[in-house]
Amino acid sequence: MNGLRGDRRGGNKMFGMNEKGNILFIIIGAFVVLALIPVLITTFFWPAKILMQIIMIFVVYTTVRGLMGSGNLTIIISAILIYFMVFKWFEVFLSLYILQLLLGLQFLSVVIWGIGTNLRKG
Amino acid sequence: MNEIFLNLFPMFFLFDFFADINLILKIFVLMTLVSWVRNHLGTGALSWILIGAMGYFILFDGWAIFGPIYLLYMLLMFGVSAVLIDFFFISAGGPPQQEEGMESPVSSGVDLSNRMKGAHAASAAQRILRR
Repeated sequence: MNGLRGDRRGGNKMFGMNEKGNILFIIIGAFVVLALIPVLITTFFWPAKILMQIIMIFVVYTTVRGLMGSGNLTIIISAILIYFMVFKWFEVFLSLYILQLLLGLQFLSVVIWGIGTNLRKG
Repeated sequence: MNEIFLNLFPMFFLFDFFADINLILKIFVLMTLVSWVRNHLGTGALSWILIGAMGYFILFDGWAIFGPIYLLYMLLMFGVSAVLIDFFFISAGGPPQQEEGMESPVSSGVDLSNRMKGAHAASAAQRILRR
């Protein structure tokens, strides 16, 4: 009986679970919260929304110009992408942009490490 | 009328969203293709023919396979693999079980903190014994 309990404990440990809950789900939850914070800020504070829209317009235009070069086609494609990504689905792409930014700075690794280490202490 | 439908049925919102994401992804794939062909062949007639032929094949004929491949390529390019490694190896695995013989190297933050606690306890016990 004791051995069975020990095996179960070992199995739980292997899958990142402990008495305080499943660490992996909490890490996913932390990612979702990280993605929601900029959306909440831009919803309740309109200058932040304008600022982020300007930043995203520049990012989209720079990306398209980098791939296609300067020309009329670049402006047309940028306009289409800016309409969809910056105006129509702003909240979705803002979350993705922030996550990409954090990913580029290796911040998500810090989040995973921090949550994993703190929760396993118990 | 369209707004009422969108408010009543969230499914229409989802269809609209996925259709737009599909279009955005196709534009990005086309731009990548144009950039790649131009880098290799320059801006000649041959490059435009190749862009047209490959564009038709990738964007329309085989989109079901090339769309997910491009998505995966972008995710890997952004460094999602590093997050997956952290997620499944650093967060999941705890320190290995102690066995007799040589002491295992420090394998995680928890292992390190446990060893530090043990060392603190040992030094405190030594101090008490000295008195």
